[in-house]
Amino acid sequence: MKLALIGFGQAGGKIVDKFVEYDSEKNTDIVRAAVAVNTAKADLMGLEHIPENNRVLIGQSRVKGHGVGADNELGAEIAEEDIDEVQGAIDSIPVHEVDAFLVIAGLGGGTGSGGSPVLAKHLKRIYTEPVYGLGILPGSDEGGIYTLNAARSFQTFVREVDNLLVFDNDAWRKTGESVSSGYEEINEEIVKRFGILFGAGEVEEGGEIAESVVDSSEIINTLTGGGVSTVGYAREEVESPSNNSSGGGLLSRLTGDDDDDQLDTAHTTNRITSLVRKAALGRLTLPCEIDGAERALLVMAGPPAHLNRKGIERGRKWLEEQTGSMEVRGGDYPVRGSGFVASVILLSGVTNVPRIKELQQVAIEAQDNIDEIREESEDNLNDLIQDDDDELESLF
Amino acid sequence: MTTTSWNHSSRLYAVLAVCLLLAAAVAPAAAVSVGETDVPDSAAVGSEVSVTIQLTELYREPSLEEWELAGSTELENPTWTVVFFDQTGSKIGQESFGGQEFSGATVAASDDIDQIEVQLRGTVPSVTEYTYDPHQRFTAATLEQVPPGGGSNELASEEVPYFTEDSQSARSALDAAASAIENAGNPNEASSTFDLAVNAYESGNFDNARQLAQEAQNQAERAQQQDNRNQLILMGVGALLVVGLVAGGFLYWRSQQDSNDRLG
Repeated sequence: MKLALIGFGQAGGKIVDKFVEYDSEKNTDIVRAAVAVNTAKADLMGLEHIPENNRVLIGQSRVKGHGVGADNELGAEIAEEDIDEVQGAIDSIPVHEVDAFLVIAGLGGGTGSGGSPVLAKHLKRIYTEPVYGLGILPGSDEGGIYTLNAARSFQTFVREVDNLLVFDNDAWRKTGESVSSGYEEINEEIVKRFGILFGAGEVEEGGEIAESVVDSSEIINTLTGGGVSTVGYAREEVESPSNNSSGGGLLSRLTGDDDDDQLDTAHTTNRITSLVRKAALGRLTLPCEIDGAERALLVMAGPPAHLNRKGIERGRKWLEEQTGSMEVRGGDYPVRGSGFVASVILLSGVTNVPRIKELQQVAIEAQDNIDEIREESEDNLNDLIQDDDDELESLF
Repeated sequence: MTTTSWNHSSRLYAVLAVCLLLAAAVAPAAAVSVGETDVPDSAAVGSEVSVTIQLTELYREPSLEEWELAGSTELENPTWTVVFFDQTGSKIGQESFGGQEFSGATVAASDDIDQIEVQLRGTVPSVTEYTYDPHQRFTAATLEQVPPGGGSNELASEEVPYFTEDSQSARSALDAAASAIENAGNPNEASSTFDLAVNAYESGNFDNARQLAQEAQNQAERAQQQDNRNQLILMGVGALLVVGLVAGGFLYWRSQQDSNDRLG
């Protein structure tokens, strides 16, 4: 699946940057174009892999390249005002070669949180290609204002995109990490999951053809209908030809001989079903109850010899039972020479998400608190500057 | 067992020591000795050359009071001049002879003769037999001591390489070919051509020898070029191999890294 990636705000830009790096490093060919949009010049300068002329600085007249300071209303306003500048960068994308747009943004901040729904709306109005969002929720310890931003942005973003894939930082937080290494790791996890998911339908020349292909349309159909999606992922190391000491040295690797044919089918099947369970019940990008999911897609990736149809079918059936949905698609994504077998599960249209409810709760509290304090502080300020009997007069 | 072998070897040492002593005793007993000689390094056929040989210590070993000097040469139309000197180095007499052989110059202690200088002039004879290595030579002078009782002792014999213009040019071609062959590491083909050239030279066939020598030289140079080329090719192949190994190693190393494993 070929994507046009647009990273909005700091988090969005960084993730798109990481995506481009992954794409060129692993040669997956899923990123057709990458654009980063921001109101802060420093954030754009920190990117490494996105081409310079695809970095768009907006709102220069309002904030002079210093960002919006976690004010997502201002972010949305600026995005609306300067949408033509963003469009200018998107114009250079050969949209006919693109299967979908993916707008990536952190929802807790200002620019991405406010601007990405605006951009999504704009894109949907102009292009027929689906516009997906990838929203990053802030961790619950990041503070009330970020939670409030996220809750408001989430609401709007879901409405404006064809489907919102969500990644919850809270579920991935670890203690004792530095800020940069923590985010770096999380970004890597994000890119790995979505890279495999979107890479599944992309057949490269001379590459392995899947038995039951996961085509772009399968991904698009799974995401159609809107709502919120989450992704599960699990992998297991296998004896790849590269570290297989029993058979196949360099020569057999060169000649392409594969003596994995005699792999135990039962073992392979069991591994696949266990990986499917692990992916679905383990840590999802947005933790939720999977039985409410409307649609699901199962992608099994790994060396061809380690994938078998029976296992994938069984995994798919199990997923049907668990989600209660009849719309569960599945297929394989052969990656020759890989040392892992991985399963990626896309659950679309999930509704039973306690984390979102919690987020909204905290957001409402934060909003009330902010209003309250604002009112109170006005009175308090008056108390402070007025003398008790109002005897003093101001100068003019 | 060991003692016997020690005995054997000790006896051997004893014999060796005696031999050495004898040799030391005999060595100083030299006959008439040859002093300064003036002989040309080489000579062209038909040219006139002169040879001078000085003789000293005239009456030792065998200790004769009087003897006769005889000489022979292959030079044509030779003139022999025998000059006598006394102990002070002054000339006291002189005798001249003609012909390729002379005899009868009497050397007697009673005449105060202490040193003799034999001067010889003559024309270089034509070559009888050509040899490449060693260079063909003719005997310029042989001097003999004839004791009164008869018999003879050879005192000196001087041989001089000689040549004709043709033979010399063939020889220099052969020399050039020989050094080329040696530089090329004695390739078989060139060596055998060189042998043929030498044969031609020795049978007096100088044009042929020159041509063959030239060919041998060319062959040697070609062989050397071929050798150089081969060496270059070998080095190239070696370099390629090294590059291939390095590149292969790098690729293998990279393939061992998980960085391009999409699922890694």
